[in-house]
Amino acid sequence: MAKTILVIDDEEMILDAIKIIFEDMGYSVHTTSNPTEGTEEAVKNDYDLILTDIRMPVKNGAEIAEAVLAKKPSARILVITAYPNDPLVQRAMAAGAIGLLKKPFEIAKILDFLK
Amino acid sequence: MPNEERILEHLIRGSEDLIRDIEIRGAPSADEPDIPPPMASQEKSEEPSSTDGTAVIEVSKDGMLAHATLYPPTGNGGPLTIDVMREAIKGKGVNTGIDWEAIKGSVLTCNEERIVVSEVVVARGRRPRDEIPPYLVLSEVLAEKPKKEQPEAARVNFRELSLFTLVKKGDVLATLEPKQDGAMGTTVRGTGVAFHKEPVPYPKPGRNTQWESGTVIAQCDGKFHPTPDSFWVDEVLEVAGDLDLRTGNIDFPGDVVIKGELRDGFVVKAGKSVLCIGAIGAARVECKEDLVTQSGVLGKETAVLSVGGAMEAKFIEGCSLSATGPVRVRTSVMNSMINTKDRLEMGDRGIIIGGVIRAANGVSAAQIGSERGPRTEIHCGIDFTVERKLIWIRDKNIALAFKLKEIETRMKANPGTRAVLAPLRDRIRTALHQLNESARKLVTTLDRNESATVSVRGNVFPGTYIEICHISHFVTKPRRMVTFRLDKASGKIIETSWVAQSGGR
Repeated sequence: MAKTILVIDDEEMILDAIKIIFEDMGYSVHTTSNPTEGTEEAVKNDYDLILTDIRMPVKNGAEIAEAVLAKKPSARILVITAYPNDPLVQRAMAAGAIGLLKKPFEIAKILDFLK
Repeated sequence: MPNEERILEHLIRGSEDLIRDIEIRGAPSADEPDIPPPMASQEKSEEPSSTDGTAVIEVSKDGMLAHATLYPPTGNGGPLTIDVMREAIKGKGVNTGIDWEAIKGSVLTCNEERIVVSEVVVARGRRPRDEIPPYLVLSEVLAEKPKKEQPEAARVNFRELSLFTLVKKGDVLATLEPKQDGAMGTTVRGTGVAFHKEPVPYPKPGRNTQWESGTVIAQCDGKFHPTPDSFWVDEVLEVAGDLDLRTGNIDFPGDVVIKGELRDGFVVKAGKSVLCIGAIGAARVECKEDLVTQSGVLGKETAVLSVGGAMEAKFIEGCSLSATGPVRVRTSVMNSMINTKDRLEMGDRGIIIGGVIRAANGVSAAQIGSERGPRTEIHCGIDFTVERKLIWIRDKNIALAFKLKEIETRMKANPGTRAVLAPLRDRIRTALHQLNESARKLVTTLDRNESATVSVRGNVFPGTYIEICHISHFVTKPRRMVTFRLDKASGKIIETSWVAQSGGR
């Protein structure tokens, strides 16, 4: 069975690109631009990897990481950021996110964490 | 009595005496509290019967040494004499290199102290001396310094490093050591031992060198190249002063030496190395081998340096540098993008502030970050050239994905375009798939150095971001004398105390 990825990002174009690229690689990709919906989806279903943008309106990536990991500590979350030193990234990492991706995304890192 | 028989008799008698003693006394039982010490008189009365002093000679397998074990007399036996020794030595066929002084001294010790004296060298053969044909020795100031096996094993002594050795016409590059004649050897039994011919490997003189009365000299001014097999001099393009409007840009197939500064906006391309005595400004340098500046780089956020070998500078500021070899900077790297397939090694007080460092085999520095300065990012363990390829693939794939999305949207909105757009869509899908396959191959074959470390002799300031083999770590508190390394078991980066020898590839 194909490994599953959930992507939460308010930029629809990036969501489309990640979906097209990683589905071509044989992964099953679910995307959402709504952070609240993404949080619920991450808790409701099991994903091999969850990618979330860090700066989004309504709910940021750190809040998503905290909410998901509180209910599902085994979730593997990577946060997407332009600046690794963003305090929200450090907050997400402190909550248990496993790493960060530099914007728009890093293919090698995603594949590494899907291994 | 022949020598060997005497020893045998000595041994048999001693053994019989011992057995008899045990039989008389009986074995001590478990309930016996202690064994009384022997009476002095008892010991004397039970002295084994008398034997004369004697010696055993042994000759080594290669016949180059003869050893003796000297046994003292027992009871009222006669002392070991030089005649007995002579007889024993002769009996073994030893006739060369006999050390009578050592023998006399050992015999005296054996008789007077009544002890067994062993491992006495009584004769030494003479080893043959190999014949060594003539060979060349590089002049000491030019010979390449041996590379340290572990770059982190010690601090870099920048005064010892020199990637660029310039020579003048007529300088002595190497001197011929004359032939050393061989000489026969002899075993302790007087047999001759032939000598060998042992050529010493040495580098052969190459281009722009010439023989002159037992020496090899430089035929022209240039850059000296020593390798284990050969040495030669390459002519260099020399810019007497600054590289500026008077000289224009340079594109030269060999080495380039700029005696002054490399000014803002100029370009130097070299098929080999570049040495700039002065500072490098906001310029572009592309060289297939090393880049050395005896000053530093003041890049004003626009300098781009592409180096096929190693890079050495006092400081680097506002610069984008990519090097295949190690990057060694004495004092500071500030707000720069440094990429190396090897290591970034800072000098004793070398600091890194701001910018992004990608060093596959790790970083060593005296300080990373500052209290109020810009944040510093350090990435280790991954080859930056592979990462660049993956970024290129990602960017192309994003562009293809956008096109694909656009085509599909149009086809859906206007089915009439299907005939035209469907073949294009298929071609895009194929191209995207091929790029994805390349990316997957690059990732699986990516040579990760999981033992790459970031070693800091002084302070690391909060805000520093460290990544080793894609594993992230934030420095949130001030740290001092610390080494960051990847703990494969936990999949996390751990901090350990800084030590001079902290590994690396």
